[in-house]
Amino acid sequence: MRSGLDARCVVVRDDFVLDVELRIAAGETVAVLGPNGSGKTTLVESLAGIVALDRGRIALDGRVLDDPTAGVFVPPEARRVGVVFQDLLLFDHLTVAENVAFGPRARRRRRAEAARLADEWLGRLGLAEFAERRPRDLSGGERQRVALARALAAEPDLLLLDEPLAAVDATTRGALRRILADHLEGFPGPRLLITHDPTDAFLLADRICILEGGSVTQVGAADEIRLGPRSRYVADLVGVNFWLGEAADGTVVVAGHRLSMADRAVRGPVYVTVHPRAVAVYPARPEGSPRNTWETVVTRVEPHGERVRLQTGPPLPLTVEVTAGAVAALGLEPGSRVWMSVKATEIGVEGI
Amino acid sequence: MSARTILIGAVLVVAVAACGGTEASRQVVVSAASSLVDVFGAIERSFEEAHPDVDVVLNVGASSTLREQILAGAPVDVYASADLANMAAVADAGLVEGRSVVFARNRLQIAVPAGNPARVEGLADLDRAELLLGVCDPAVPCGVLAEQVFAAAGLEPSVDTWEPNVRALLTKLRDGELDAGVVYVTDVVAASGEVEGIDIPVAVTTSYPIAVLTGASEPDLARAFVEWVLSDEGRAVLDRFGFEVP
Amino acid sequence: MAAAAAVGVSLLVAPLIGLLTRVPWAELGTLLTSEVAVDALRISSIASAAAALIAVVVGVPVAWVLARVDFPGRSLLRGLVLLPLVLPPVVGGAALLFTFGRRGLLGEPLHRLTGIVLPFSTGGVILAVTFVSMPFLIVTVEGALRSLDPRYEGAAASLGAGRWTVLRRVTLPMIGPSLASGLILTWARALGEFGATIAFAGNLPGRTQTLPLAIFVQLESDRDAAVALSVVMVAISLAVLVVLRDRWWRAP
Repeated sequence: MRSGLDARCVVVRDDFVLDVELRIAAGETVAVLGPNGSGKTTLVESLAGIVALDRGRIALDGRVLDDPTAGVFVPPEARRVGVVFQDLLLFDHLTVAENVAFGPRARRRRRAEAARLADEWLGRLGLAEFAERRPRDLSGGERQRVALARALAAEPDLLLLDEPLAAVDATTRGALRRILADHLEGFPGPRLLITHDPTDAFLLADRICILEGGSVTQVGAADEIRLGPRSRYVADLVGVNFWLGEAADGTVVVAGHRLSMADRAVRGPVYVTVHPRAVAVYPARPEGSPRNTWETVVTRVEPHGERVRLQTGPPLPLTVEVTAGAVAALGLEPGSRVWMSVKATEIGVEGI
Repeated sequence: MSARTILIGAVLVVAVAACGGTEASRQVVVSAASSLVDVFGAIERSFEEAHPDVDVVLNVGASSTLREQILAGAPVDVYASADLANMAAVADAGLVEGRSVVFARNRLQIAVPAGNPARVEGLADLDRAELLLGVCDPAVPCGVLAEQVFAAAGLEPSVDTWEPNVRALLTKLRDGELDAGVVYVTDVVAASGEVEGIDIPVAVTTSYPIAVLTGASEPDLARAFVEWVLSDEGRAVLDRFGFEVP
Repeated sequence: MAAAAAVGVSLLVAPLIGLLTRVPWAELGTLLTSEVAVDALRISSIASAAAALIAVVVGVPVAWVLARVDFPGRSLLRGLVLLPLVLPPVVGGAALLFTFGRRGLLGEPLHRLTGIVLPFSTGGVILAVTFVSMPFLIVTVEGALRSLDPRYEGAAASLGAGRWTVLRRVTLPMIGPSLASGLILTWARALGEFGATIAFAGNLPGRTQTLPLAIFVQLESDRDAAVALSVVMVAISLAVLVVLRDRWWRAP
């Protein structure tokens, strides 16, 4: 029975309470996005069985893994919860192949059978040539793939990815994210991605859960969250303007609109980000104009205390953040005509 | 800090440690066999009463250990051995002043823990295989004597431990860890009540020689101490502790 | 500074040279193949190997409990099990006698029920040297377990490995180098043990007389034999230091 994950995790610490409800269907990827100290690690540990719940209940495909009221606690080794740890925790005293065969062996597969499974996974993740090497001799990206292969080879019912791309340098992140996306797609159970990087969440998850101070503050699809952030943190982090674009010769075309960027080397398909606070708003065409300027209409005005979020219309719809004072001085309201300006250095571009 | 300062400091530390005792009093160092520990303790007290300014330092050990220390140049004034052989070795090295004098004799007894749990009645019982039997190591006088006893009695008992000195053997008899052991009569007396002695009908005795050493730092005191041991008072104490006095 | 160091070095090295000047090199072979020497070597080998084995079987779990289980009185327990490290061995021997001797706390019922007497037996030697040497293994392995990230064990568990599999396939291999050096230290300490052995197990060639005991009694009766055996001990100790060198010399 593939009913997925159905969990309410309550873990009480001296100075902190984690209280999260989480439902993930089989074949669905949910990202939990939150700042440091929000309880992401505790959530992973409670699902993996490293930390016991104080209240609540965890059920996976109808099987109860933890229910303090009923006195049920299934230890980690019997949970079938696969984890790709933030710092990978690969076994350096074993070869890459032995690392991947560890799960099947621990689950009582015959040695030859385990080796065959390991070979299979190594092949799928393009790691066949590293089978007899030690994990410590591999690059960050290769090690990341070994960790994924090791988790998947154990045939888990739930896959937990704890900051899977945090330890990887920027140049390999894109490629690795694509590999991750492919293999998440191939994994039939529920998948939970823990991250603090909105890009990972947007690209890999079907739904995003925002975790702050131990509680979920917002749940929704990527666009819902991006366009309607309900907290300062979400607005700061997730309210980033984000597009797919095509880069060439110091410019990038986004939704038919051409922007200049600082990086002249990038070329081809890219992710483009512009932070809302990196956009300047003027009542008239700015003097000595930066290259990226255009005229548009304010469509929405949304106060958040001292700061106000504006949504603007075509040619390039943007989320912009300005001070409340600026809104008052410019008399901004839906329908106001304004000029937008973004410096080339503020256009974030990352190759796909 | 120069090397010399450090060296002098180190020498001072060692020297102070070596002296110890009450300040300003004169010291006489007496190296005595293990079997003499109790009786020489008593003699030390009576000697010190008669000579309030003198501090007798007793250095007790196996006669062979003491011999090695003296041969290696240890600062000792008087040597009292449990046999003639060890004294002879010291004399041969030219370290004895004049001649050594035999001041006491001792003989062996079978010692058993109080109550004699293994019911040992005589030498013949030592042959019993299940008996836990201890003797002194043949490297020390009481071990040599024990071998002589066994040879004279035609016994080859199965020994369970060869203790490095007679006092260690006595301790294990006291605790009841051994069923029987061969020790000096004087040790049985010293362990008053905690072990029982059973006479050995073989006439094997050892002689205790005492001598002033040529390296003595206090030769007068050393001579006085030896004379004290040989005096009537000394003989009375030796007798009280079970020694035969010649 | 250099001068003080020179004094220190000579303090440590001069006795070794003194020993080596007395070695009867020509007769070394004969002396080392004498019955007493061969017996002592045999008893020492058996006792030290047994001590190392026992230390692994029961000392590693002690180290694991100290490193991984949080319970009241843990520091006290650690202090107690490490006490033999600093206790004069002869005190340990006396304590063993009061406990496992024929009239001891546990030795008395043991003797009454099974007829087993530990003192004056090779088993007694093993008990004495294990008592003195096992703390070396415990202290080394506990340190290693403490510095091992327990999340590696969590990772293994998440892959389906039970406690025993985790211990066998992850924990022990990961602390392998420390376990090995702890084992060598334990073995070497067991080999050199003197005080507890002579106080508890006595001294009988072929049964309880170990190398250090043989050296001690022979020093007064057969100097050459004692020195020859001492050379064996020095050689073994040097070998141990060479084996441990990479682990200790490199320590920060």
